Amino acid sequence: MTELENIIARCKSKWLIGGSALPDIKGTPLESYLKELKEDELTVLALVAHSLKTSYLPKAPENLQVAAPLPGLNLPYLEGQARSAFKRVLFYHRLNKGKKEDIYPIISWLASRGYVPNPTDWMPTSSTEALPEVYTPWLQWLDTGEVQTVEQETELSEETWEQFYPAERIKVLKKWRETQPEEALDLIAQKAPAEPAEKRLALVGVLEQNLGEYDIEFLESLKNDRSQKVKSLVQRLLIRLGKYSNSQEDIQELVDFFSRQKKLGKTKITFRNLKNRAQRNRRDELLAQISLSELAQAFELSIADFIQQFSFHPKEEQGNLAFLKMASEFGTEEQLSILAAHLLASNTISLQGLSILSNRLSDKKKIELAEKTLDVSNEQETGFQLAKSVLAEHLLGILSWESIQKSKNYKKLLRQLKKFAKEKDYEDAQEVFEAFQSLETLGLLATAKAAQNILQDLVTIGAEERDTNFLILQLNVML
Amino acid sequence: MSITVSEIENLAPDQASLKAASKLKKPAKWPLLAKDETGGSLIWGECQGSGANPYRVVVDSDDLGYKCTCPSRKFPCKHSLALMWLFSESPELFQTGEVPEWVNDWVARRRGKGVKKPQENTGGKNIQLADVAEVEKKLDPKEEARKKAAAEKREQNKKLAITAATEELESWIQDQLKAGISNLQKELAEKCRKIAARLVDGKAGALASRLDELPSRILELPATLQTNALIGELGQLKLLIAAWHKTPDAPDLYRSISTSENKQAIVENPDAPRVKATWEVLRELIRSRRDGLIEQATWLMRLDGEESDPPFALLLDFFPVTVGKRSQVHMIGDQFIAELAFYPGQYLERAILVERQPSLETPLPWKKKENANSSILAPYRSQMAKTPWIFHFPLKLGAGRLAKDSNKNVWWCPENPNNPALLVEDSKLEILVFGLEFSDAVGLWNGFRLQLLAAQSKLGRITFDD
Repeated sequence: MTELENIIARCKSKWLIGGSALPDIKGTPLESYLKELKEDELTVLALVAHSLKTSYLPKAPENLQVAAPLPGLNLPYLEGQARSAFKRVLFYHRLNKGKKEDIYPIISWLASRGYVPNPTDWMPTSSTEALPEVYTPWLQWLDTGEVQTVEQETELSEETWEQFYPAERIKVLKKWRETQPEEALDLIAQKAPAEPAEKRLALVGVLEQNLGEYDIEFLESLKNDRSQKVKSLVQRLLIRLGKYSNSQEDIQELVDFFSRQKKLGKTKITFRNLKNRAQRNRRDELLAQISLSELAQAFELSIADFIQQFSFHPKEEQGNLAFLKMASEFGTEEQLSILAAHLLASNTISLQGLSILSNRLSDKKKIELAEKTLDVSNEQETGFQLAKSVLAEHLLGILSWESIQKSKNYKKLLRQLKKFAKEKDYEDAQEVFEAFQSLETLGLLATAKAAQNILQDLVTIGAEERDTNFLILQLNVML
Repeated sequence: MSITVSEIENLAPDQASLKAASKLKKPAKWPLLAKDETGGSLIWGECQGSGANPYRVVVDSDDLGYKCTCPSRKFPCKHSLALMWLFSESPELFQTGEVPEWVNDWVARRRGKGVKKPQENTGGKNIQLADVAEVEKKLDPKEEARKKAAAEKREQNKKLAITAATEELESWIQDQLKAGISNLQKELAEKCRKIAARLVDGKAGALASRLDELPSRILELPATLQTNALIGELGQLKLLIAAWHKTPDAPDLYRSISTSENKQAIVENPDAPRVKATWEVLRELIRSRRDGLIEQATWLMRLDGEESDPPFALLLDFFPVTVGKRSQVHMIGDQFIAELAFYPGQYLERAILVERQPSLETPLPWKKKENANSSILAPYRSQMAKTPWIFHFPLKLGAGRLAKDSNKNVWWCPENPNNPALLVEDSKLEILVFGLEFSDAVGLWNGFRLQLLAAQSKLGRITFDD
């Protein structure tokens, strides 16, 4: 202990307890100094206080931990005007008390355009956030404070299994299944049984890619898996391979939930009207269990013909969704496109239903479907929002000017915006809010050229150029 | 694009507002007057108010929509009226310029596009009457002498009252030492409030505020530092009182004991140092005070100019909590050339913005820390030797990183190993800052803990905003 520390410690112990005696500073330089000045206890206090504030720093422990430097990403940061525009987007998002998830589509869209935000402007806050792959190094850094660097050349194998993050393994295995499905299967069969249920489910799910006869043996071994979710998945995969059959009673029970009518020479299959929730639950349970091929067979139809004849029921939202799930597992892309057309023509278009269908579609078909949704809407969502749900993250910003310009929703939106520009005190706040929300979504869907043309249209109808609701469109043009 | 005086007359809430606006028509009151370079209908300006920062005013001359950052509850306020009036009478005073971000933000947020032009004059307002200059009444010499003598007497009495109040505070501190600081800590807020009330009675308003705010300054620190910090605060009070007893006329001491000069007095004071330089807005710190006021502290850093000039400046504004959340006065990170008038004293920290130019388009880099090998605490210690009662001191930290100890306390670790690690106030830190290597940083040091104001890294400028 230094002399100063000694004096401070003595004074502190006296002052903490109190008492009329002076602090014990006998034998210290302070004693003679104060005697000379004939000063009192408050001077001791002043001197000690000054020392505490200037020379008595809180000591840092030896074992200070420094995080690994934040890794860079494989895309350039937004700069210049585009960065300013993005910062304004964030500013208004905060101002409007938006949820953090609302920013994700914008982040995905930026990545699809080849940019990432400067982390000083925006960064994910948790490693579990659903973001495009390019952000993986940041998510890993958030997770562990460091980045596990797997050498590019390192191949996933039994030996290197632990060097890969779970999400990375799935990614590598899926890619592997495209060209060497049996080798990927061998590794999954070796490793999956020892993994916990959620990871096991994801690993078995990889087999959906290029599912073939070689998978049967392994899938059969999982028929009695501990996890119900894994068991159901295995069952569905085996059905697809023709190696599992539901009982005829169950199939017939499901058939009875459908009605089949002939009108003007056309056959229409749809759900029967049901009386209660118990019946609906049972129907949906069977839809989750039975394959489309089994159902079609019971109607003595091919899958293609069954889909052709199927109509969505306007009042059976849950049933429609359960059917879509079933169809998306077994139908071909062409058949699913037909189903999508049925869905758009029906009065039961739902964001969830379109998402289920689009998951199985190729990028080309997804874009075609998104373009078609620009002409429809439902009670909750505009066609722009529906189109956004159809397009995958990497397909945002892809809709052409031609497809937008001719769409019903765009024409309607322009009419609304023109009305707002003309009637400055327009009072229907909900209508204004929805229109501007559509404009923002449109900013994410449109190509740069389309965004440019939309902005031109907005100026033509007399809208205020500085309106914050045009920010995404403006940012789109800058990228 | 024009505004007529009758429109202003109709728009004014009352005659008093027109009168107040007429006093603000002097161009000297407006460090900035501008209009849209694209020929749009926007005009804007900055008007010197009672605070350290000017108020920002924007008007859309098309529909007379307006916005001012002042806390007035009259709509439009005198600043908005004065801006319209100036534009109506002397449009040539308005420079053309690019519409700044804050004006753009206002325009963007307008929905329903502001007010409608008033058609009628309600309440019998008269703009010509408001514009008539008041004739100053001349006092007779005897009356003047009597008033002067009375003012001197009042001042003398005030000093006597303050002396008595400071003596009472010294006794109070002595009593606390006798009763034990651990007892004081148990009832810190209550005991401080009582002595603060006595100090208010004794005309020592600034000391009273200091005592009133003392508990919050202590309690926001980690428990392990609270006793040391409390001893530090009590000792500083003793030092401040002792200094004032020796030189009661020193303006900085009088300010710390009793009251501050008003803004006009600083602007007119020839002893208030003026510094014209490029300044960067480091951070805005907003704090609710016990007296119901919100304190808005804007820290600026000087980027060029004379070495002997103060490297930092604090623009301090207060407004009642009832006014609600106030918009930011400056954009954080903004750089501009401005003339500041500092409150005179041995430590130049608090200042008033007298004149400012538009923001720089190409930002200046931060100046390198002088004497890279000297201790980062050296300027603080040197200032504490002269004014040992100051609360905090802005430090240029140089290069470094943030680290955590096993108790999750955050520390500033300087790159230079000869400098000590400093404990950091971490309630608002984002996770990103732990992954950055800072090439430079600035923080407020209070002797125990550092509050980061801004930093530089490879990724650019880092803000530590709320």
